[in-house]
Amino acid sequence: MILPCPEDVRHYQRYPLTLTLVALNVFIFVLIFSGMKSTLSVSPLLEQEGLTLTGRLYYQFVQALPADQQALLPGWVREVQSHDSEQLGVLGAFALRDSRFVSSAEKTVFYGDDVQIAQWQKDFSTFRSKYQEQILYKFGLSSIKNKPIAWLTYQFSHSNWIHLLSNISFLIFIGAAVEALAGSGLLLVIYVLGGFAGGWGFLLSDVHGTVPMVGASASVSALLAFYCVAETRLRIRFLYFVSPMPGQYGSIYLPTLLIVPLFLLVDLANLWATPEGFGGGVAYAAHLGGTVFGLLFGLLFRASSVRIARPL
Amino acid sequence: MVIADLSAPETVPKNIKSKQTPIASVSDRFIAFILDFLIISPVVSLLMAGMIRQTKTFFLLDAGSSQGALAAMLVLASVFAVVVLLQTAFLYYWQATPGQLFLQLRVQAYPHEQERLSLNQALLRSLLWCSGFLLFAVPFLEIASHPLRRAFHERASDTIVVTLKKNFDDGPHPLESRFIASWMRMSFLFLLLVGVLGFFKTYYSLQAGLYKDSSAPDSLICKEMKDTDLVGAARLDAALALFLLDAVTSECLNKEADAFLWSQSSNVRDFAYLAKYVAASEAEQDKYLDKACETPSSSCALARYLADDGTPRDLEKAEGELWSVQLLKSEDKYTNKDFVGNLEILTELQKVPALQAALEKRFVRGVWALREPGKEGSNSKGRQPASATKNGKSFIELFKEKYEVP
Repeated sequence: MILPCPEDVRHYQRYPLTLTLVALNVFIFVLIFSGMKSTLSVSPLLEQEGLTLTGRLYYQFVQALPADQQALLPGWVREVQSHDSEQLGVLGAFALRDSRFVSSAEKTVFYGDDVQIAQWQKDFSTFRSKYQEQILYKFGLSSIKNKPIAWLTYQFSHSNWIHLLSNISFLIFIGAAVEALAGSGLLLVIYVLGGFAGGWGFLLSDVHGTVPMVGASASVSALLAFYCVAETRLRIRFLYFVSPMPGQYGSIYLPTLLIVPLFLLVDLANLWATPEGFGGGVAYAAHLGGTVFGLLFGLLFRASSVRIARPL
Repeated sequence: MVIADLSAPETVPKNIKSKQTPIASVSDRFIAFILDFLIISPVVSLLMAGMIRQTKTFFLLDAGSSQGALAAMLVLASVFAVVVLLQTAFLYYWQATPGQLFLQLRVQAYPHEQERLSLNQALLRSLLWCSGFLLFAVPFLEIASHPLRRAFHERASDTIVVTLKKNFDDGPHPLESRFIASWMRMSFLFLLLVGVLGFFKTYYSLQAGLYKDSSAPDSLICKEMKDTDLVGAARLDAALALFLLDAVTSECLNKEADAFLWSQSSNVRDFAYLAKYVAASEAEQDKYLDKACETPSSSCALARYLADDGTPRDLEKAEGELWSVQLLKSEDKYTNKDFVGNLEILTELQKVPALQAALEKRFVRGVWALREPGKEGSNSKGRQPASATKNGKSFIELFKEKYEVP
């Protein structure tokens, strides 16, 4: 594990906004998960048979789409064979992420086992209403639901402890660095606008998605990219940990630009390596949206700093 | 700084021409390796992203995909090649990998001093370094055991890793060296043993046909139905008859019925619903009965017969050509102790290859009942009744002939 840690975060009073943002993320996480436990995971729709049935219906839905819309679907969706139940199960999982299907499935007339279809429509209706009741759905950003407030709330919401801890560990180290470099005001601007850019990147990559995106990772990516460009020092301190044995953890001064392969390039590689329609739980496109914003903002910051520093 | 900075950029480079070779320490080399991994792996991932996505897609659609396995092998081979090329380029132009540059390490020619590494040295070193991972990194143990910390890939390419820091390594203690060398030998022996066992096991499995392509997709058609020539309504009829004979499971019948119902061109939907009704759980049976009886039909009559309140009149309304109906009629005759009638129908049904094996028990049961004294229609006085003959032979004779009973 390696993390950029240019500032000594033990002097926490120097980074009031970073700590406020961290506290806000933790507070909202606790708020989300102090509610009722979701029963969504026990829906018959998410069992193997339910997914296969959903896949069958989605297959009919796809066949009924005009050719130009079919062409927009991921290539593998068009390769699925209707007699292969394993593939239909995978297709079913994808179907539940397609907003066009989700919004029209209850009204669409399907052919097949009418008894199963009637039961599926009932289960689907229950699933959909439970899904929409979820706090993460309300706070998250997705193509099917992108109310203006969700653009902000998603930046402070997390889906689980690991998600929260990984994001806030980066936020602490890189937030402190940006706050020391550019000040609290700019940190807030980069965090929020980076989040917006991440949201925009996510919606561009997931035009018909139903799964809401949550997390501060787009904002953190924006901060990383900003720092990478704005920092003028050639080398900064990184913390590394290989094992608890002596000499295998500590700090090392490495080029600031190393942030690019270590964190930003990874997102691009993962985005390209993921089969279309299956994000694997990480919104790489959102990270990239935040990164692009951070890079541009960093360049602007650097240019303006140089102009100010240069004597008239 | 609380923790020492291992990259030590402020140190004065050591003169490599001094008498003592400034051997790089194992920990510095290990951290350099980790840094290399962190820096190079995103670049390699980026270059391979398209191939990795294609491979993932193959496995997504078919977990046992041979296309996927082939694509995965291509990805591994490409990763190997890209890593070798990147490392060669770094060694040739900078005499160090990125991680080694940050840790103030350099790769130099040894024992013959040169200004810089030749392209051959850089390429051979990189190639052998990568190959070391094919042996589960065991060859790298030599870095800990060799007096000059030179592993096989370094000795073969006449190179050595040196440090530019003031303090350098003295090499391992002889005892340490012997211990690690023997440990490495043991590891190689273990790998050899696993390799030999793996080879023979794989060869045996290959001979036994365990690697035959059995990756047929999890079809919507039931695999328990052996007769693949049957198609259409006849197949579903056979599946229903076999289910009634306990020769296939309800899951199988369900699959067969589903294949009909989910086919847009199906014209035997009521019969498929009848099959679903028979195979369904108690909670769902009523729904399927209603679907089978949406319009008055032979299937509806059969479904009503199979329902608890069914009567033989319902069976008469059903289409007599259906094998499942004939089977039920034969059962009806058996219940009514018309064993000859029962056997006549069974003999006709046994002409259907798909049903032949499953009907054996019923046939034997019928013959047995025919011979049992005291049963109506049976050979109570030890004489074959004329009605019991079929093509000039009695069922008993047919039975003896069929099962080679003396």
